[in-house]
This record gives sequence, structure tokens and C-alpha cells, in this order.
Amino acid sequence: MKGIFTETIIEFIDRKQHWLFLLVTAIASAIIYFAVSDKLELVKNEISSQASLLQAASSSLNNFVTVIVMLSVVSIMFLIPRISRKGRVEFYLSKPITRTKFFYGKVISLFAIYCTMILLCGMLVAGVLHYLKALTFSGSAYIVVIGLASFLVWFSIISFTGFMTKSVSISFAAFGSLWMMQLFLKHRSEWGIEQKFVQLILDTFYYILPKTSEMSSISIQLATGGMTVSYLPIFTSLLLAGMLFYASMSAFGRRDF
Amino acid sequence: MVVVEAYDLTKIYASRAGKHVVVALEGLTMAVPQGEVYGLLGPDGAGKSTFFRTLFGLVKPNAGECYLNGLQPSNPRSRGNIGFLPEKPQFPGHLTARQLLNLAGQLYEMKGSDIEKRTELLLEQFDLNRWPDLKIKHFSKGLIQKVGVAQALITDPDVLILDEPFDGLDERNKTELTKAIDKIRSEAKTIVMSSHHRSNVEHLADRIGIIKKGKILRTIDIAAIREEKCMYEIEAKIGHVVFEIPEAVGKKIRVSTNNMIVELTRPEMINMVIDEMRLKGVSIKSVKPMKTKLEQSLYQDIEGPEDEPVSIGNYVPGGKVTA
Repeated sequence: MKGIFTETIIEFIDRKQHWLFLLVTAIASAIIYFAVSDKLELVKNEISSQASLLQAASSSLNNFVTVIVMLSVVSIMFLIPRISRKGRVEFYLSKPITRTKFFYGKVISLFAIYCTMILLCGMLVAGVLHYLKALTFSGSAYIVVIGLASFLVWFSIISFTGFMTKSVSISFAAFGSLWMMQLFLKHRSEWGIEQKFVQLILDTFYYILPKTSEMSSISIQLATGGMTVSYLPIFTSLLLAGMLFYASMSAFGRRDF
Repeated sequence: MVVVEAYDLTKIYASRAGKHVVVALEGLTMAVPQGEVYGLLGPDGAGKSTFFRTLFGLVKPNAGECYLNGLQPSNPRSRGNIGFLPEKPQFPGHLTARQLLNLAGQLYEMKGSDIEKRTELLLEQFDLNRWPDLKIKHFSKGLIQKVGVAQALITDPDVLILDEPFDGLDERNKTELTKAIDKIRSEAKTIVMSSHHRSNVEHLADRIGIIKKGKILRTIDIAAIREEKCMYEIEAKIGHVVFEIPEAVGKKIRVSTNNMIVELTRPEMINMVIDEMRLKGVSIKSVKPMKTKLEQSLYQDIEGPEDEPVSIGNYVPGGKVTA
């Protein structure tokens, strides 16, 4: 396990992705600093309210975390097919380790590395907002932690498509289409569909598919001290993630290399 | 003790629709006892790599059983004391040779100090210390094969399985790798190696299994081939010159005015025959070693029955088709 973790870190550093994360964080920090500073001036001059400042700060951090999560997901998309590539997987599986141990070793290593990056980048931007006294520590923590949960959900989806198809393009298509679908399904009640059967199908898709967009909304509500109606989107999305990891492992365990 | 064994091993690859079916292994049965060097020889697509993958649990057979150290591939302990070099290995390109050997040691759950010791030894043995910071993705084919053999030896295993170790290597690298394998062989380890070129395995192996279309067609005891007396065909302007070959050197099989076939007790005796011919003033055009019947049958099994050789007594001149 230690060997797999070390190898995954070396690969991450070799691909120089940490520089990309740091660059995005630096740019985002600068933009958020100036945007929130302007908002702060408006609050000081009583043109804008404290609540709108909190809303703006929460949304800024949430948008940044969403970008970092997407960056992580796209980055991992390229790694997973490489892991299960014929020739490379033989090196690992010809050693006295089980497929389960190898699979979870790789998945946990990748998750730990990218979580650390998301956490560090999120904390840097949260630090800027905290410095400006625009967002509390607990508010930032809600957004970053729910951001990590969103990452886990997308990670499970691209792990599943990556291990099943070994194709970056299919993983990318699945990621893109599910992202779009969750946005559409979130507003399904506003479409005015009256047929019960169609409503049932849409509801089924809604409950099965990931709901990271709603998870983001929940994190902003929690950060701004607003009321949260339901945590169902978080629970169902995490349940989907668990099922997809299990399915990926089962497929990996049965595959011929 | 038998360390590698397979019984009626069958593997069929089929497309999801079942339209394309490839029988990679068809009732393959073989056994390799401890301390033997076994060569698996067969053309591309014969099932050599599928067999190795099945042994390591990378491929699940449709029928039959196989064992490593008496354990089934589903048991990870079966791979505990076995080094494996896969065909066309793709080691993590972002690692250096040292990092790869360290990773291999960790996957075998070796102690840190033991990993360090073995890594140093293997880097030295395979001359990989010259590129300490070079990542594997920048390695040449020869270097990859070397690091591949080195990682297979990280635990100093009793059994070494090498799938096409000479594939894609130039002559210099082949010679170096042959020396390395010969050294491992001298340590009384069991080696199972595959190749589609007989020259790669016949001088290393104790036995050779001929594999074709997923079956072991026959197993040849290489020692028996080595024990067969060596034959040479000498092309020369002999005319009516008479030679006498001492019994300790060998005997004449056939003599004509421009050709002679001799059977010698040892290969180096050919020098004495050549010296004798020169002394008699005979101009020698060529000296060719001849394939024995066993060698020829081996060759025929791999190449297929298309080229029917014509035998002269027990031998075929130069292994060439002369019909």
C-alpha cells in the first residue's frame, strides 16, 4: 500500500499538475480578493448589506472549489486508463497482492492526493476571504468539505468509466453529460410536464444520478447560515459513489489482462 | 518438487457478441520441476503469453488448472517467491530504475533494509547505476528489459518466469541478457522462459516445450540434442585426395569430389579436420554445421509442415531445404 501511494505521488509530481493547481489558485485568489474588496467598500458605505457580502464570499469560494474539483476530475480521467493498461497492470498483479488491494490502493492514493490539493487550494482562498473578514472559518469549512464530497462522487463516476472502458474520451463524455443532466433534472418540476410516467422517469433519474450542483447550494446555505431543506442530495450522491466504486472493483476483479 | 504446472488449461477469448473467438490455450499440460531451465518455444500467437498470464492470475482460464509453487493463481502467496518479466513490459514511466526496484520490493512486502541491499546489488549487476536519475519513460528497449529482469529478481526468487526476454533486443543486449540469465541459471534456480526464436532458448534451456495453437506439441530434452554427435558439411575442392580421420576425432559420412560430411566426437575437432585438409593442399570454400534430426524436428514443429526437408541419413545439411 505504501509503495502504491509513493508511486502515485511521484506520478502526480512528474505530471507537474501541482503547478497547475497553484496557478489556478493564485489567479482565483487575486480575482476574489479584488472582487470581495469592492463589495466590502460598498458594505462600509452602507450601499450593500452584510448578508449580500456573505453571499458573494460564499459563492466565490464555492465557485472556486467547483473549478478545482473539475480540474481534479479531468486530471484523474487521464490517469485511470493508464493504471489498468495491459503491460503496466501486469507489473503490479504479478506480485503477491490481490486485485482488491491494488485497486483500492490506487483509488485511495489518488483520492488522498487530490483531496489534499483541493483542501490546500480551498484553504488558501478561504484564507483570503477570512483576511478580508468576509467569511468565517466554519462557513469556509462547509464549502470545502462538501466540495470534497462532490469530488468523491465525480471520482467514483470517472473511476467506473475509466476502469470499464479504459477510454479518456468516454470518461469525459460521461462526466460532461452527467454534469449537464443534473442541472436539468434539478429544475424538472419547472418544465410543466404532466404525464405521470414521464415524471416518474425523470424522478428516477434525479434520485439515481449525482446531484453535486445541489450539494454546492447546500454548502452555500450552510455557510451563510440559511435554512437547509434537505440533505438528501448529499446522501443519495454518496450512495451512488459507493455503489460505483464497488462496481468498478468487481469489474476490475473479473477482467482479463 | 514441481514448481510450475498446468493441466488441460484452456482459454478462449470471445468478443461480446461471440462473433470473434480465439482459442489461445487448448488443453495445455506441462510441468517444470525445481531447478530446471524450461524454454517455451513457439510462433507469435501460440499462447505463450496467455499461459504466463494465466499462471499469474491475470487471465482466468475457461477450463483446466494451473499452479505456481503448488498454489492456485487466485492465492496471492503463489506469486510470493516468483519473479516475472512480462512481455512488452510497461513499467511506470515516471519512476527511475531505483524507484521501480524499491516499489517491486514493497509490493513483495520485503523489509526496507533488504530492499535497499537488493536494489544496490541489482543496479550494479545490470549496470543500471550509470543512469541514476533517468526515468524509465526515457529508457531504451534494452534498458527496459534489463530493469525488467532486475525487478523480477528483487526478492532473489527461486523461480523466474521470463516472457520473451530477448524480444526487440539488439545483439549486444541479447548477449548481455544471456550472460545474466546464465548466471542466474548457475545458481540452480528454476527458470521458465518463452521465445519465438529457438536460438534464444536452446543454449540456456534443459528442456524445450514446443507450443503451437495453445498446445504443447512436444517436449524436447536439449541434453539429448547436445549429446548427439556434431556433423559438419565441408565444401572444398577435394578431387581424389584421400583423408584419414582418427577415430578419436570422428569419421567420414560421405565424400565426393567437392563435398565431405564428417561426424565428429566434439565440435572443436573440426579444426583438426581443416588442418589436415590444408596440409593436403585442399582449398576449402565453406564449413557448415548440420542440424540433427532432433533439431530439425524442433524447427519443423515451429515453422509448420510446409518446408519438407530432405534427409541425408540421419542429418539435414545446414538445415536447408535442398529438395
